[in-house]
Amino acid sequence: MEKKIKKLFTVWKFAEEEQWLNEMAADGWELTKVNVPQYTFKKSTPNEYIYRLELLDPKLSKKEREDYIDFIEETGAEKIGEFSNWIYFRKKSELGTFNLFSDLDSRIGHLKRMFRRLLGGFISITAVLLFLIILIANQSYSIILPIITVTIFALILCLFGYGLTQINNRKKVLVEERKFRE
Amino acid sequence: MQNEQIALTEAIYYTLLSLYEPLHGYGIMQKVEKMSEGRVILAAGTLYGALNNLLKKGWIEALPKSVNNRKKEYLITTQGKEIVEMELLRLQELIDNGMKIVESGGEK
Repeated sequence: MEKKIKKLFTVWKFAEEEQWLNEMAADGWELTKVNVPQYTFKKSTPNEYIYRLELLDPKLSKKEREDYIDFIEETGAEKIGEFSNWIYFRKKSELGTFNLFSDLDSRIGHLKRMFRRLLGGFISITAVLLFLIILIANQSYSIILPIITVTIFALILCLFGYGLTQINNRKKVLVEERKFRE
Repeated sequence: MQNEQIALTEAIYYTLLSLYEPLHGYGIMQKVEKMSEGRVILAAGTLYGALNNLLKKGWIEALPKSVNNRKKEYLITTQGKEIVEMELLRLQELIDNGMKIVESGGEK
């Protein structure tokens, strides 16, 4: 039996996404395919796999990327999908615990990659919107269009601002802990 | 290398120790877990970062892949061994001082 679920997670909700996939696995639904925003699950025995997500550094070359994924797979995990630089890994739970990170430094590094990614997205969207605003302001005599565009811009600004704050707060907690332990 | 005394992270220290014999990534994870009696479980992503940093520093080397060994193996270098020996001295000092104070029960 198979079921497809459409669900959208923002970058800063990555922990929730991971948790959701593991909860689905606990209910006996194993993720077999990811095609964001569509997740395909297959009915199987509960808790057969542990799922972990990682955002890779976009600066990695194709070879470095493959090298990394191979390394993870050699430890008994498998890659079941990817979405831009997000990689979906799973490992049979009978093989023991499965984590991608085991110290604060690597978890802080992961959050930094997310922060940069979100910031990059924000800058691109801002550039496009600013261009549109200038275009509309020059050509249109109506006041409504510029107002709509500016409103959309303000909403996007709030959304990204919220996301960046979320990631930054999670990072701050870890950085604070890092002063005392690894 | 700078003169500043460095304290190795647990992941780096145990990775270096496990590489006194050639091992591939998963072998390192298993050996470290066994050595520490299950206390230290290196996660694959963290270990990968540690290995790359160690290679860059020249404290370990990657062995050429052979026919019967598809997985990349690593081995500690002479420089890496010196680092471990320095770290042992540092750890010994920590233990000695800790013992002295704790065993005396903070009397005097």
